[in-house]
Amino acid sequence: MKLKLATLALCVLGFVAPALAAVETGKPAKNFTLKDTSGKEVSLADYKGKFVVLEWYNPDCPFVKKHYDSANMQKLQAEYTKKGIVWLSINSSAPGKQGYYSPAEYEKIAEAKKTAPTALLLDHEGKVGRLYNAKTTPEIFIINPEGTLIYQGGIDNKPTTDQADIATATNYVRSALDAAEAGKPVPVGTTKPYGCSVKY
Amino acid sequence: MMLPNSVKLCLRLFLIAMLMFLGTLSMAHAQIYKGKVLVTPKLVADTAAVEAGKPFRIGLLLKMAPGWHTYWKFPGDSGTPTRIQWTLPAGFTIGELQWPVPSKHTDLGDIDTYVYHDEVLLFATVTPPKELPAGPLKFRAKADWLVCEQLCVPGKSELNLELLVGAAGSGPDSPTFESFAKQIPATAPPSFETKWTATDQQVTLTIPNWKSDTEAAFFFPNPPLDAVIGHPKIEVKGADLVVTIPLFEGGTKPKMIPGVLKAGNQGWEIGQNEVSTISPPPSATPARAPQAFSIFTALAFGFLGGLILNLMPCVLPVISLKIFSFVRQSGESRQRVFRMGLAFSAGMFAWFLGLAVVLLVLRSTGIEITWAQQFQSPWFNIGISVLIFLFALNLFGVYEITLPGAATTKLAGTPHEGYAGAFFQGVFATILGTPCTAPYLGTTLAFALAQPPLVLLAVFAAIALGMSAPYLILCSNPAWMRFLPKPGPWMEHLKQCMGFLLLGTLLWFVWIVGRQAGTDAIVFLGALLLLSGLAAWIYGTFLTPVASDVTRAFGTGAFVGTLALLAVTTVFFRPPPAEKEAQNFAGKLEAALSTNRIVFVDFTADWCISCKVNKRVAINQPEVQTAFDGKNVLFLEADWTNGDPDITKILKQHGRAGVPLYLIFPVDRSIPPVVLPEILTPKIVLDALHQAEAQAITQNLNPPTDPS
Repeated sequence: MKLKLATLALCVLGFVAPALAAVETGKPAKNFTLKDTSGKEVSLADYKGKFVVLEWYNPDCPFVKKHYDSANMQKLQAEYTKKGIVWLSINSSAPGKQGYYSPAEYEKIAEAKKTAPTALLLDHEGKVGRLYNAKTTPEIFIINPEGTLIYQGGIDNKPTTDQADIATATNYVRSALDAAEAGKPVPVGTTKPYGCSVKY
Repeated sequence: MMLPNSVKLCLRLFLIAMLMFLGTLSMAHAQIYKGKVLVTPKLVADTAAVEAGKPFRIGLLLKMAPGWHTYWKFPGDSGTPTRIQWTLPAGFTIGELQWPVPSKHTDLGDIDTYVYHDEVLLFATVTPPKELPAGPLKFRAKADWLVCEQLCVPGKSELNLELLVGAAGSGPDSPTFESFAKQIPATAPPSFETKWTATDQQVTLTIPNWKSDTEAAFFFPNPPLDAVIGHPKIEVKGADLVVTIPLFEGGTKPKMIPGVLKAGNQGWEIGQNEVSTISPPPSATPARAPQAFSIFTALAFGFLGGLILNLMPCVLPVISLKIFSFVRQSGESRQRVFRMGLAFSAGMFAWFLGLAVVLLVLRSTGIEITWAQQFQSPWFNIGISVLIFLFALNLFGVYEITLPGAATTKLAGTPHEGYAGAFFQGVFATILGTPCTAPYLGTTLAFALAQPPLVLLAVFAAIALGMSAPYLILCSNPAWMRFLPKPGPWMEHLKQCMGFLLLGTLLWFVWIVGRQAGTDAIVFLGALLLLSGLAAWIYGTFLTPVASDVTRAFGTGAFVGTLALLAVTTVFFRPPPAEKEAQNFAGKLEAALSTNRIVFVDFTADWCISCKVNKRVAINQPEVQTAFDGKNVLFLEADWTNGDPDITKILKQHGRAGVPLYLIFPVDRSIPPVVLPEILTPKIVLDALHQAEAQAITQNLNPPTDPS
């Protein structure tokens, strides 16, 4: 009997394991813990019960600059954090690669650009980036209060570095959060992320 | 003559200054980042001069610094493709951009991109007009790209190329074109077979009997915008080459993903032209029907569409006839009226089911089938015209159709409409109705045409039922007919008046025939009408059941003679088929889409009344025209009057079996076109234009994920 149960458990695990290997929309989001620029530890689990936006960030990537130089990103961050949504920017640049800075330098950039996330988390080993299979900056993941991943992909539908495109683009962060907050299904759960490669 | 030294010096300095200036000019386009030249773009052509009507190639040559790369049309995990917007001299058209086979580049973190290193030429074929003005021609390309090494830098440039008009011949850049042309994947169907299988998790391409001696193969995917894919995995399994492409949850689930297969130095476009088999997933679970349409919805829409067909402008004359015959029947026995109604409905069913059978037979022979395509044949239209004319003469009282069973009642002096007459009226009303693809019917038909025979028959039966429902209901309870006016001598006048209405319909067919086959065809049709009219008159005047035997004998002779004359005219005097002007719609559309303008495509046909009505009440309205001008919309007409395989293909792609179809392509061609409904109002057109302009089309094809 015990043997049978063990076999069954193994079988179930065997099926579940590959599914867990990929980050799937509609599945529970994986937990992680990272330090922010002030050295404080932040876990995804801390924010259970709230919507969480993960934004892969590299201040020197032209696609990221498109959204920060136009203040589009700051506006989104301010608007949704005001509504009680948690916004975590994550930098996965390896030491020496583009976008890698010291915590103090990040804070200086944040001040200059008036960025407004809940926190900027440092993932220079690329652990969380690989856990979420993040490939580009800016890449977005949205997690609902139950801890389910409800969106992953690009920030909008215009994969360019041209600021002028922002006005006519469909912003997927907005469409996903607005729908989910209103209790409606997210219109598009997965899109192709665009931008620079994450500098692992 | 000796120049003073000072003048010489001046000249020399001037020359040096000129050269320096020219030098900076050619460098002006280079993309410089932190003092380093990353990309040098150049606009080049493969001809020394432009010759009228002689196509040549024009391209953007990007030279990249060592270690840096630009991107293919599908960039892979990150990056963005190079884009080019052409501005050409008037009358020139340009084809699709050709992308050489890229190479795969992998960054840390399992990031795969499809890129070009060192140097790449992206080119297209330009077709000059038949006549060229003298003087140099200016070609302009607005290009933007992303160039990356470890980091990425966007670049853009506006490039000009001036070419002289003259004899075409190879130019200084022709060798570059030759070497890059070799790297363009073959678009002709490959010699090997391709098989696609798809599940919700992955799409698999299998190429049986793959030559194992070829070098490592790779597949560069170019997925539809709304599908999110993982990295293709390439394996050799036995004799087969198997490409597996994972699909991400939340994106659409395509049945196949086009792309470029590369092996050794060769590349092939896969999923474009070749005959490939798409098989259902081999899993044991029954495939969920991905159709937006269930059979029951199709039946319901078919019924509704059939009902609405009664109101279409082409059917109305016949319908008024039917109402008239109901009036005449209102005094008759209930049973007879009901049977007449049944006969009329049976006519409708006969036509629709007959059409379904014909379509099935055609389909089994592999012929592309579409709705109302019978109107594409001038012969069909000529035949219908003769039929309409004869019908009108009948209404005018030139002749009566007497059927054996009804002959006795005829003699008794009460003119009765026979069951056969009612039946053919049913057939007739339906034939006239087909060119009006009523709302709902468009998608329903496209759905039905792609279904197994029984479903197709059922859908057509539903349409027939919908169309005949009002009559069946009226006939089943003739008591309701007392709401209709009482019969009387006014009916004869009404009948004749209806005859004129039918002649109006005839006029419309004459116009179509003229458009299709020219003036000769109109005169030919007129001759046919004259002779068939004569035959009808002889029949009606001399061959009545009450005529004497002598009259009948002479009458029969004259009648047969006229029919023979009719046959001779048809066979020997038929006009030569009008030369169909090659429309090359695919080329026209491509040229239109290569501009930087919103493109509105109107799929129409001369015999399509809904199209004509839409054009008048919506498209040609001043407010719509003003909006078209204001937004610099390029208007393109796709004329399906005589049929056209290019147009048929596009109609099918948008799930339509026939015209009308209206598409608005936004300036950003990567966004799918806005599809307008089949019945237009100015507001619908304007709203769709705004939508195309805002380009904010959220595609919602995939089932939304449940956030809970």
